[in-house]
Amino acid sequence: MSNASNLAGFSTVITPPSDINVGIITAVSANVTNLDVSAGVVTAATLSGTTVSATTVSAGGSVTGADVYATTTTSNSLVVNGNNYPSNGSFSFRNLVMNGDMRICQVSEDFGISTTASGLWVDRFVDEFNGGAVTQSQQPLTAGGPYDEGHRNFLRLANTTAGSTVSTDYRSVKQTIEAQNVATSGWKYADTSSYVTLSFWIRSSVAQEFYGYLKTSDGTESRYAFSTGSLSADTWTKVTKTIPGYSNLTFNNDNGAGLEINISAFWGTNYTDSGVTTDTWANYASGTRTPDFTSTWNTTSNATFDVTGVQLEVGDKVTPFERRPYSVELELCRRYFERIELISVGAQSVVSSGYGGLNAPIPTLRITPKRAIPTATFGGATSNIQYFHYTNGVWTTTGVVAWFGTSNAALEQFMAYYPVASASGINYLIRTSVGYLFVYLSAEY
Amino acid sequence: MSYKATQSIQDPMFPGGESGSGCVIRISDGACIPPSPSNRDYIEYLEWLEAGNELLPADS
Repeated sequence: MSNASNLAGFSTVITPPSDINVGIITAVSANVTNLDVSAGVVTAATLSGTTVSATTVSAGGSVTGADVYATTTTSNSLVVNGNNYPSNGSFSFRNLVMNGDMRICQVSEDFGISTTASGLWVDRFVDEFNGGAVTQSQQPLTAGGPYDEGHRNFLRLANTTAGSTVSTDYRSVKQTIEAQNVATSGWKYADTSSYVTLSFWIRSSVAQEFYGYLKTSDGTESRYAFSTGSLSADTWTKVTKTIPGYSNLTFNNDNGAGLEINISAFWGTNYTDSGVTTDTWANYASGTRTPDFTSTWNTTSNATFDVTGVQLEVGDKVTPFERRPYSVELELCRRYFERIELISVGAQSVVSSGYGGLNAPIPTLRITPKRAIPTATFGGATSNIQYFHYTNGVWTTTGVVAWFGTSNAALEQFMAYYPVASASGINYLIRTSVGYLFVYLSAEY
Repeated sequence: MSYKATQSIQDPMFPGGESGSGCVIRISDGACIPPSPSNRDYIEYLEWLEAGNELLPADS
């Protein structure tokens, strides 16, 4: 074993003995292009160099360098070029949040980018509000920190009519992660030494502190309140929270609600309490979700609240936002919500054969298997749907009802029906005279 | 918010199987809500019933 307190000043490639133990190796300042201990072990408090190569590199503090090559790198975490690598959990699909970059918005196909209604708009993110009026929308992102991270969209809540009731008003956006996805994530959620890390970008037109919370549904309902810190107006800020396990946490291995992530612009005092402590788990109660909010955003007309880049991952390190292909992300979202175009403009070729029941069915469509039997909501040219009954030879306009076959345990087929008497073996031609017909299937929480 | 019943529907995907008699229509948007305890809209409908409201009859 060779020992030294400080090795520095190398200007050529060096090959130390097979084992070297030093306090500090400083290579960059010494213009070392290669620190090669490929057959040995380097143990040091700090390593830095243009290139560091060894069988094993361990450092109590940090390992830095333009290139670090090692069979094993041991530290609090692996950091390469400033990026953390996962300290626990899976390497792929590690973001438990779906559509965290807000790029999937299936309803925009039919309704544009915004709505004044509460509920689902940007896929997997459900807006809730009470008092005044709020518009939620999917917005393009053209500059700023999240843009530089690769994001191109954000979700916006716009306070189009300011709230005026400090007790009952609320405006928030949430995503509920399916219980089995948390249960099988690798997070030892009942262990206080096991962590998940939540990160997201947030921007507000009003400078103030906001709160959010995590909520569990299985077993004893629990919540973990957190603060965004004091935000500057119109400035993107990345919020990172490292969240420990908690003995009360339970996540069933099923399709129920698991972990709700709620990022909030305002909760009225009926839902908050000044005694709530942030960054700790406690039993959930509707009246103690977060500490009391500053009401400025809520009482400011047309104030905006923007969120993107939401990621929840196992481990105590925030890693770069996980990029998944658009098609993969869309398919993930469709488990909870799916838009299907049943009949396109001018299409008259949907043929139905009556079974002898009360209604004429549109042919069965195969869909993405759903979390649960979905609600079916029709839209588009519903008033222009017509069917042609071959036995009476006339086009008839009718409305539409739908039924989803509960016998199909996989929840992967959908069938719409026309509320007209159909007879076995009798064919129907279905068309839309103007526009198109679509259906939304929602199994969202 | 109000709801109405639907006509009984024999499901041709599953002859002799389930029928659609338990599906309710949310009148505000025409949504067809299946009788599933995992469906959020159905849970809201049950809460609406528990509050003393009554389901409107199906269209004849």
